[in-house]
Amino acid sequence: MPAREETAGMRWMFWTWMGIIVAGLAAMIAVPLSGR
Amino acid sequence: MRRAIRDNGLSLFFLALFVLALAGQSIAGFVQTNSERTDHGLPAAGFGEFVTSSDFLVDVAENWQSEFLQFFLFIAATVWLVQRGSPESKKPGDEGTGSDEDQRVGAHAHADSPRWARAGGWRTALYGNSLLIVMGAVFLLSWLAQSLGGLVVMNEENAMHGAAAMGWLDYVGSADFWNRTLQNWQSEFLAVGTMVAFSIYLRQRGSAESKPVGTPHHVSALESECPPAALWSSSP
Repeated sequence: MPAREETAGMRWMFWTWMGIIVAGLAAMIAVPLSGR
Repeated sequence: MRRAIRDNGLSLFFLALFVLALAGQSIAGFVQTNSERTDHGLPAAGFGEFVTSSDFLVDVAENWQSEFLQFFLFIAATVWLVQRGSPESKKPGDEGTGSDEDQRVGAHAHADSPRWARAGGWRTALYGNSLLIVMGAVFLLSWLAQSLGGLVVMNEENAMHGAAAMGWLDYVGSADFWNRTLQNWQSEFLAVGTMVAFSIYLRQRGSAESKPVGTPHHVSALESECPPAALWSSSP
């Protein structure tokens, strides 16, 4: 019977993807602003 | 550990694909850029230099913005528009944001509903639109990133040809910016429209993106056709 509650894995997945997005956006904006 | 991997397999599968595809893009782009630099008699760039250049990042950004625009529009449009028979759509008659009772918010929230769904007021309003807000913000920021990176690349080319540098406002009105933008948008809209229409008549047994194989063609998303009463482990 699968657990019917929030798991640490769910939070890990959410924040991993959020981290990728935030880091990617920061890099894609900062690099051209620095003129590179 | 095995349980955690199985429970999160869908996210992990796409995470692995994303990392591999981005690595592949960076290697292919690096090889191509250095071959062009050699043709122009310029010294080869290092790999680190390439992946932190606008040349690489503008290509990443233009694909990101179109994907997030696709999901932003799909999430927003499926609130108000329906396609009879598509599992991606609610059934005709269910258009709109739904009642508080349907959405289990405020006084209708259950004990295990998210805290901000129970809170009421601005917190419930904000939480009730949080997916659309985040996808929209990522779309706008990656589109901004595309315009900034595209401008740097365009001005590098202008400098090589002895042309004057362009400003940001000129660039966002340029053919280069809109060619990069619209070539990505058209394919996203094609894929979404096709998915909505094909899923009326076609099936993939076992996929959450498909109706069960024996479901009649006229039935839309099952959650809309027959709201599941047993999802919550507690009553309001």
